[in-house]
Amino acid sequence: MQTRQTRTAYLLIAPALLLFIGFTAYPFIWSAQISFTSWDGLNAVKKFVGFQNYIQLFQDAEFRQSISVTTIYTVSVTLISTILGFAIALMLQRRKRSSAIYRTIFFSPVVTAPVAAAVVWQLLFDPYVGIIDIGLRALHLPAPNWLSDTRWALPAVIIVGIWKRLGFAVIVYAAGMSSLPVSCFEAADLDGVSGWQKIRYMTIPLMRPVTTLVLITGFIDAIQVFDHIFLLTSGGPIGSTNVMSLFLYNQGFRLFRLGYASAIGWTLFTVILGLTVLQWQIRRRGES
Amino acid sequence: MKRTQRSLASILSLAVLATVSLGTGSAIAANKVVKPVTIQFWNYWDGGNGKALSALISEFNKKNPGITVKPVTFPWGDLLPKLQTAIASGTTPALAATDIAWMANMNQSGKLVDLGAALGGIKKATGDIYPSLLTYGLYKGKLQSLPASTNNLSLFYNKDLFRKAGLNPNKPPKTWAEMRAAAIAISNLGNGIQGMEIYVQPGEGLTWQFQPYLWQSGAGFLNKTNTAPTFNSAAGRSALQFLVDLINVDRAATAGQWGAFDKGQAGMRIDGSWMVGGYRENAPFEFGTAMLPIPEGGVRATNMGGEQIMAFKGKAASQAAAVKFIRWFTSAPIQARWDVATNFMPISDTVANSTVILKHVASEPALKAFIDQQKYAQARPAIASYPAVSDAFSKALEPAFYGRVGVAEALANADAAVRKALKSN
Repeated sequence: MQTRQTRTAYLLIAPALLLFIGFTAYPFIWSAQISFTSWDGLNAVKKFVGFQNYIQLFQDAEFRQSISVTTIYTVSVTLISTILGFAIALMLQRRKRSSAIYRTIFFSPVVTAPVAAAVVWQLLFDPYVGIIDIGLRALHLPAPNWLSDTRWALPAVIIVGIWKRLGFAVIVYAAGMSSLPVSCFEAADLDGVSGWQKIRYMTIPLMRPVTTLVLITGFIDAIQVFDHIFLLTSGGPIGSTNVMSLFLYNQGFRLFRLGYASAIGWTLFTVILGLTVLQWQIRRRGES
Repeated sequence: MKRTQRSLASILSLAVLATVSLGTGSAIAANKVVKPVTIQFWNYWDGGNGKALSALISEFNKKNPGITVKPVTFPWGDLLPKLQTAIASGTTPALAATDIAWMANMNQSGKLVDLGAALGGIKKATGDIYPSLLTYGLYKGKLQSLPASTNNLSLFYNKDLFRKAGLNPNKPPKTWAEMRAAAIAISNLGNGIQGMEIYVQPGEGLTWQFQPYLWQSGAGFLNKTNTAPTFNSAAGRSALQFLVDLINVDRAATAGQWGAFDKGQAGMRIDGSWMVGGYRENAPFEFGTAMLPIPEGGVRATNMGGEQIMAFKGKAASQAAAVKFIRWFTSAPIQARWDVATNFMPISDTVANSTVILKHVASEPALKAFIDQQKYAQARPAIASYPAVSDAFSKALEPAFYGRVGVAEALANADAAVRKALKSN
């Protein structure tokens, strides 16, 4: 009986398992193997080079620049979208009647195709016809050439990153807040606790698991950013928006250095894994 | 008599039977040959070029009942990764057309069909195709691809802005000094209008746009054996200084994203003949073209672009169909029609002198500059490390356009980076 059940269980997980092996596990191991070669993706011969790709990577100034760009991007997008998401969810909680419409509006960037969104943002940032610069000029403020200026390109792609991420944070926080015990807040009202105190001493601590979720998923999402930066700036100008995944793509698919690109991929994976474990540890310590 | 008649009848009947059976046999054999084969043709020709290709392909399919060629179009940046994946996984298409800049790498894949052998010898396969174009297809004595199109860079200018700036719209600049003066006059119109649009984004785009300035000033890019850079010279520095000054001294150009000329926000830019059709249809201004201006005492030079068509090793029937298509597509009459539809440049004298082409050029004056200039087009180094070399070169030059480093320093950095990249593959 049990063997039959076990067999059925294996049969049921087989399709997912096969897909996982074929499209995740196998390429994963294969890329590790490739990272020790100087393979160009086309040549019939894959020359073994040992740790040379990894050694070269840590001496590569472009890689170091991409780490700092990725760090600034990831921290800014994750923190700002989380704080804004929390604030907006709080506001929506007070406007219960119209909150469904607002939630839909805030969530729409999450489900918008990245390419379509990037094209729209490119127009918005355009120095000649873009609404942002037209607005800034109308207010007699300096109107930067967003995507072409080394000082403004990274803030521009961070703005787009926050715009894309915000909806998720709002929805998750809104769902979390709707499940908070109403009686506690009513009791606090009776005790004359102010609105700010309720947020500071009740909502924020009660929302801590949600905050952890939003931060961790936001962090993993942001550190892997590729599409809108590829479309808006291609990593420029002068590498000011050259994030790690873009650096990887360029090395692998524009410069034919698949071995080197695989080494970048594995380094990126190790960094994400390490930081995620660290986040979980901090969270666990916080809980205990 | 009767006997003779009978034996004659039996001989005849045997003959008829034999004929019938032989006929059936050959019909069966013929059926085997024309067993329908469908092959994919990967390319990156989109828009009008894609439509022109589809029209030609359906014509080929109609003429060759057993063969169906299916065009599959990818964005330019996606085609190479797709081909790399296909080569690695053994799922290549039967046919592909790729950028000439990728050919050195494609040649090493070991997956390309020897077209010389398949088309009855290299001489027969290539005819009078320009030898400079053939360098991309030859690898270790074998012909692995044929030119599918070629093009070059010339000067595009906005006649409306020329008029507004008080310049003669029918007298485009011929020298760097005239180009600089025109750029300054146009940028003085204000409202963010650039006199000249310069490509400064790193990558092959920057390299291929800058190489003509190098060659015109007498500098080279790599040495004859493609083993060392030759751009870090007084001539090379003068070329870079000219563009950097346009941006940072004359303020007649902006270091930034590409696209101002298309919107009517820049007076001039250098670009390829494939833009002619699009501008004729959509440009919100009147445009003209001219041969690239050259420096005082300089030489005429432009960059050569284009695509190579190739067949991948596979099943005999698919391979044969692919070779048949290549033979047809690279034939002079088809190439002439392809060039008319796309505004690409002819790949041989036969194509260039065909009535179809001569008529087309007469009807589209903007093409004249490109045709006149094709003979000055120089090929980029056909070496496997070229993508890495070009990337290193462009990244070292980019900060100079933004005024972050001096011209001499940028070229010295480029020299070191290119030497390193040459050793990378």
